[in-house]
Amino acid sequence: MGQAAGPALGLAGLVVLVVGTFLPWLDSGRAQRNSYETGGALKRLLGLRGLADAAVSAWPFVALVCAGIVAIFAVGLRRSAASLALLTALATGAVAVAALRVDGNRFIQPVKLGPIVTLVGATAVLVAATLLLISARLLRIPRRSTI
Amino acid sequence: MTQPPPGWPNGEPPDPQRGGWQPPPAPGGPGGWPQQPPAPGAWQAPQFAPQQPAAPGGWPQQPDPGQYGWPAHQPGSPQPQGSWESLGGPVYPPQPRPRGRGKLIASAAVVVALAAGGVTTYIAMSDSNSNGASSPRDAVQSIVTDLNKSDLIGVLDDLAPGERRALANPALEEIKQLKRLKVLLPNADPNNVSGVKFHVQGLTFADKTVPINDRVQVVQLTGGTLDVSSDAAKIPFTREFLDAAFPHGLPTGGNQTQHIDIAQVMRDSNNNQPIRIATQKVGGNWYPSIFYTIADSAAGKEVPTAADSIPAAGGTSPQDAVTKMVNALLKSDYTGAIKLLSPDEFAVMHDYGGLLLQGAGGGTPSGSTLKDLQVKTEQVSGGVTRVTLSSVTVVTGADETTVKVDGSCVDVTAKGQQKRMCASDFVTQIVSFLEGFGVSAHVTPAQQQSLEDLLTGFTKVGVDTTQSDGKWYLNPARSVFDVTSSVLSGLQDNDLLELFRFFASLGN
Repeated sequence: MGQAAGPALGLAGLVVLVVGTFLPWLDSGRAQRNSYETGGALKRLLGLRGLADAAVSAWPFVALVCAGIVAIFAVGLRRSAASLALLTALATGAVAVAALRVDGNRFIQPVKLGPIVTLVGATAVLVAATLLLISARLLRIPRRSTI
Repeated sequence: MTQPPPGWPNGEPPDPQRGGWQPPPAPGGPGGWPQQPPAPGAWQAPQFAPQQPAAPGGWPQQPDPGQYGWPAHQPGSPQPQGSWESLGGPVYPPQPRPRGRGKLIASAAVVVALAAGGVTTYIAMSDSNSNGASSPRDAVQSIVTDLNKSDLIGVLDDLAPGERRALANPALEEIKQLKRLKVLLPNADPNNVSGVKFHVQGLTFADKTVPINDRVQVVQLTGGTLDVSSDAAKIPFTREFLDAAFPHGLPTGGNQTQHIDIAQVMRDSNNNQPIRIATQKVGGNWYPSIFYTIADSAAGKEVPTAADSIPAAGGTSPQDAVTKMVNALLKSDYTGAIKLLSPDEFAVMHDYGGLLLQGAGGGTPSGSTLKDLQVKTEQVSGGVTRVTLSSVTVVTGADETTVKVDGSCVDVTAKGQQKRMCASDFVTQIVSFLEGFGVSAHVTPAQQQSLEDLLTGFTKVGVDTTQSDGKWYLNPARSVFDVTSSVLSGLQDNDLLELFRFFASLGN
């Protein structure tokens, strides 16, 4: 039960995380934008450079990374999958939290739905990955031998 | 201390040469142990050479884990250390390979996951890069659609990249400053925030576009209607701002609507000619262009030729570009000045430059020369380097004038005399100036401070420069749009509200 719950939670979390990135993140007038449209528009409008530019450019690959995690897990590399999932959950969760903290202005309002769903997914992935890593570590500890 | 085994004389091992105990020879060696299994129940030594094939009839290849009380070793976990390790550890049979069905399911999961991830990433990339249109007419239609939705982000994003960057950063920065200065509410309904709504419908276009060059085409509107409604009450001003700026309440008649029939405009004020909107091709996509539309109108719809083109020639650094620009302007060398304009933001001037200068006529040199120019540079958003003045020395005939910026003060040296003017001095002069016109201008200490902060903000106004193909150019549009936010950046807390109170009180 416990061993199956981690991967199931992780898989569900990854799906929710990716779905959240396609939900509305920004209102502008009567138009709504998902996280990718928002990131692309901000990149073009603000002429982002350096780390911000790299982060926004990498954002569309979130779904591919999530798929990669599932694939790595499927081939049996559970600890690698859990480690990558942990990093992905932390990164996407940080982006979602940052989006939730942004103030609106005269023309543009951030929408909470997309970031919240992404954050929920990231939290589930975080928990699942942590459980998997802990259980993998516990299994590695040899029992004391009695001769 | 370790005790010697019992039976050793004097605690030392017996000497074999004197008839003592001898260690047994190696198994299988001459005179060694017999090659046969030990008796049932007898102790069996573990194999010393794992993986060594057993001789027919030899010892068992491995002990039964747990047979001697050892813990069963888990495959995949590290070997336990210690005496057990020194014996070579247990030998296990090779793990059974995953069943074919399990491998098949895992392979299918990998394929499905990667396929789903690939498709999703493709959609995400498309969303992220959805920008520009495939034709000039689609570009115009796109910005009209976004205007209808009051979608500011969409409208800015529809513009040609150079113009978009010139407008977007200053606009967003200005909004940020106005929120900081308590003029705009921090949150507002985005459907009503602008206070201005557009509704365009039934647009019709001329069959053909007018090509200006291989990168610019003009779309001609022949019909359709535009309704613009503005309601000042819907702009999300703060209560503090409304009280400061309109102490007697908002003026009535703030809600206005205008209906424009494009066909009628063509008939009444455009000699029955279509409305022209220029579009620019950048990176294979088409965008509406404000600057090309203005240039097309200013040139009287005349199409520039290759001879009108003024190629870009930038400076080696932001300072160098600004110095060259000042020198060009002092000499009224407008062609030289246009060369220094950013080809990304102001490509229009490089295309239309010759044509526009023909109409403007040549200027006369100022008679002044630049002796020295000291500037400060600052990185601002969007890869822009802002150049602000530190000091400048200009020679006019025999006279030399130096202006030096020192915090909120300016030192002016002319004809051997130096004068220092600070923000507080300017405020006193402004008040005297107003009172000279009979305007009652009582300045409270808070308003005095606000005016000083406002004037200090002017010292932060500069020229924005960007790099293109390794050379530095001036960005005039961005520089102009940045003036407001630069000035506002000098204001603190209630400064802007105090200024509005001051101007509202004038004449009372």
